[in-house]
Amino acid sequence: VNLGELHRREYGRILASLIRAVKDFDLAEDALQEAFAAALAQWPAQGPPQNPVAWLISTARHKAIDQLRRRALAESKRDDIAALVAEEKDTPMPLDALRLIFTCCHPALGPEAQVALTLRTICGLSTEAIARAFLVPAPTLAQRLVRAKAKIKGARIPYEVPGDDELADRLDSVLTVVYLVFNEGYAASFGAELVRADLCVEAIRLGRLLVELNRAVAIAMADGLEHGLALLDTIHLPGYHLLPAARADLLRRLGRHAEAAAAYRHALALVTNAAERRFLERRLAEITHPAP
Amino acid sequence: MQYLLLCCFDETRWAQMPDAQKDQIMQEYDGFIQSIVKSGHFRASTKLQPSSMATTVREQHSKLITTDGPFAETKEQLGGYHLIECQALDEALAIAGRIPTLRVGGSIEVRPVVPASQG
Repeated sequence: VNLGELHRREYGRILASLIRAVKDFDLAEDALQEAFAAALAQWPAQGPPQNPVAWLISTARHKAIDQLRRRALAESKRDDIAALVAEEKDTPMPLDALRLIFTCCHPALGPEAQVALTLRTICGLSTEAIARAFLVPAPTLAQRLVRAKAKIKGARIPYEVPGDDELADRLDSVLTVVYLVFNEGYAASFGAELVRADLCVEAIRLGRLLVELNRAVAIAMADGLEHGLALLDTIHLPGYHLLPAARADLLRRLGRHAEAAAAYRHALALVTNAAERRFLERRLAEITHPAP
Repeated sequence: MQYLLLCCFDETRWAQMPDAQKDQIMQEYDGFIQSIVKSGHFRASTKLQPSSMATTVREQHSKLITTDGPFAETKEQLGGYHLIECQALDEALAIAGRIPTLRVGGSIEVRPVVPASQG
């Protein structure tokens, strides 16, 4: 097991699960940091656990419980601890990451705070890396993060995927963040800055997560795929290839192949990543030349 | 968790509105208040007299200064408030979004109240 690789790949998902459980950004971040430190100390000698992600989650949760106990507790915290001790899930739930994206991109936070918090929390970029990418001093960026987290706690911005009636609006705000992240990376990709190329990668990762979201939403909706499709049609994000790609996917599932093919072609006209292009081309071929 | 909904609107615009429209808004307002009482969110509501009735007190060089008018010149004035009890911000925002003066250019500032235990 490569810990660095694990950190890069799983940090956001694990953190999302922890934040849902402990309901506190800072506490969850500290606990996860401690869990990674413990892994770094123990794994090389004792060998890695069978399920590294589950190990990290359960270790971090115990660190959080210890931390809460150490804080000489007001009566009100007892329930939180009891809930944490009772919590048994050691696998990251896909929905946790989605809940957290909606929290980080809540319109009650300023757009700059939304971007910074998403990159720090969901993507796991360091404060310094985000500051460099957006050309602001690290203390300024850190301050922005502190204020955003304080507002989430103080105003009680919820950890939840919004209900149907406001989902389209809220999704817009999430997509705007993805778009801002991508643009920031893209605009600077002519320079030699590696960090900024990373921003593009993070934007695409976020975009993929959102396509999963669209799919989950569409399937979860009682009215089925048509409803999900109508929802996608309310999102305006010109030039963003994942939107027609998600549309194409729903149309394909609905058996509306001609429309799906048109949407895949639209996505292909916008896509710039070779791997994504190959995937879209394969899908397009599947519906235009179905296997016998 | 309690949230204070501060209802702001342009008093001049309100004063110039036809009576029928004002009555209509006030009627809808009654409906709104009844609905939040019924849903259990309601804690308190107050309608304020116009800002021309306001007097501001501040301290300058350790001396109290009393002046006529609101503390800041703005296009919108505070017209009243509602104190509501909600699970989280989104619920408060949804209730704020139902306040009838929004449709005549008003705005609502949603402020979380410091919980009594942290007072």
